[in-house]
Amino acid sequence: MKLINKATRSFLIACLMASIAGGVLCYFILKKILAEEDTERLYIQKNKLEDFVKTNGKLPENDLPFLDRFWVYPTKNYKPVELKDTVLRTNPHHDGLEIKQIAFCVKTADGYYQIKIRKALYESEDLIEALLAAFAGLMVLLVGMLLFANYRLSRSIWKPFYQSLDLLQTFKITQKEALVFEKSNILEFQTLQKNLFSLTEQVRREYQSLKSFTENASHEFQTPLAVIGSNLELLLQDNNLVESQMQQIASLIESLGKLSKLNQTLLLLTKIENRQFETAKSINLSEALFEKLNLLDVWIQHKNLVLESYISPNISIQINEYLLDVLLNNLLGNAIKYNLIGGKINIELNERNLIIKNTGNPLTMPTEQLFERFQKDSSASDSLGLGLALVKQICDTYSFRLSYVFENGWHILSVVF
Amino acid sequence: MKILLIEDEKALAITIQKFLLDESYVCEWVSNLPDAEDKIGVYEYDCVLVDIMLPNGSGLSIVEQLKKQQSSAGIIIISAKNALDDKIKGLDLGADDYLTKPFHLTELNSRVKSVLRRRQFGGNREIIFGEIKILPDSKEVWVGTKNIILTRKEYDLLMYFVANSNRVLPKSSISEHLYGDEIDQSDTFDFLYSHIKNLRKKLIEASCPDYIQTLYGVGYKFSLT
Repeated sequence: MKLINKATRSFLIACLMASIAGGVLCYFILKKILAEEDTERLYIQKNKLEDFVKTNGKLPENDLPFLDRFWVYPTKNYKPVELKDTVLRTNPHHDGLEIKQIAFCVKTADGYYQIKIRKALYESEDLIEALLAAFAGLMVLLVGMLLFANYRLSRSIWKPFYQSLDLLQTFKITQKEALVFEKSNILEFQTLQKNLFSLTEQVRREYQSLKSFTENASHEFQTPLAVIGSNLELLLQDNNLVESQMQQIASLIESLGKLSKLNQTLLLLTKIENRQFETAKSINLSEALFEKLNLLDVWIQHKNLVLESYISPNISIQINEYLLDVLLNNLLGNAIKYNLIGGKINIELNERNLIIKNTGNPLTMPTEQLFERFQKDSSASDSLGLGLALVKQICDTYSFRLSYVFENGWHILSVVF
Repeated sequence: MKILLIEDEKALAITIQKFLLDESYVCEWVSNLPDAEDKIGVYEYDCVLVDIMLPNGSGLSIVEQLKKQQSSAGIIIISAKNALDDKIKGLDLGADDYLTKPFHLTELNSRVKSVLRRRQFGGNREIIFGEIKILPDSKEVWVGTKNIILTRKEYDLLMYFVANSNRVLPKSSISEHLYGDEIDQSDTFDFLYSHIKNLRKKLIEASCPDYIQTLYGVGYKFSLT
């Protein structure tokens, strides 16, 4: 719910309640005032009539001006003044008419007469209706004004808030510049902006330093690795070495290669995680696949694998070129590496997905751990256990859906674009 | 052939220098930017190997300076920074090649040779090794009067062998040269053997002596004897 709607709703409820309470109160007060007014008028009329009788000694024959209709009843003796509200029924089937009646006695030459002056009361229903209309009108007016004011208010006062929100939405951890908030003269917004600024700055700086740390760390690793490697190689060229020494050195070189590869792969994973490969472009995946298969052909033949591929031509996806290379290397490499001698590979590419199937022994590890770092099958002792973690990371980066199943002796990996 | 090595890591520089000296190159080494600038300002080199990250600045400025001088020297950038930006920038500035640390000395050697070969215009552009004659421009390989048809990988392999003849080549160095560092090296050892077997077969069929010597558990050596 938008802030403005929430505020407006509260206001509306408050208005409604105030209106109802006000209406009820008004009803009673008005009713009381009107009743008093009626009473007063009845007394005035009584006085006028009494004056008339006193002056003329008899009752007026016609209705007097400024006098409501009155009823005359002869009476034998004096009756005290009586004021009452009553209901006058002219017909038992109809609702009675609410009236206020004053009864009093006057003495004429003919004797006593009781006079009753009646005044129809304002009907409660009419009063309620009138009040309802008045208050409804007031409500509509109030709500209209409120909405208008709120709208204006949110446009002007809340503007910096919404701008800050929009700005925050565009914030990327990788961005090189700090966020620049629009100046506001409202203290709360200033505090908000100040805090948001320091928060995003901190996040951004931390990220930058982490980024440079990974790069620097990798650099610091690579140089000593290079020194060790080149010395070992130089040592290997020594003509005085016996065969066993050469084998030892070669094994050192090999292990060093693995260490270096490990370092590079971890760095690559971090870089992908940090979204440092942002330059994605449309790449013809069909061609890239053909090229890669061509490159791996010797390996495929070496293991006597039967390759069947159903690759639709000119399938393009948006991806960083280098990352696609890493992706295909790992997917196809695994399909060959963990295949049986004389096994099969099926590759299928269409607009929606890439499916790579290969025959092989079932995994000895739980499937859900397959895409985690340093998780490797017991049959692959010389693997780094980072290949599929890389694949997963790349797929996540581009929101591709990666899944694996083992079915009837087939490992099936699919990437849904 | 005169080579200038600009590298701040002394231990690495010494091994590179020693290796290149063994290859009968004249190799001079400087460890910082001002020295390097002095050297290239005074002497002519056939090839300059430059590290990007130097104590007093970026090695890329050397590349710029060489290009400004219209030097004919081949330039190979050596860097521990496998940052794509640096690579593209370096090559854009006019460097001939880019090597990421750590690298095999034999790989460096083969790159240096390739750069030098490309820089020698009008010269005799063929490589003779024993009975084998290679024409790098057309990528043709001849044994006597017989033209040997090699696959791309086999040709790369032969070139690598010839560039590093009489050297002990560990398997990892060869497979890295052929397949880059993208595929796990341990995986490529398998079919490296296939490549070598095929190459050897093709050469022997053309009645070329077997120059490829297998060193068990180590790698290979390509030599006349």
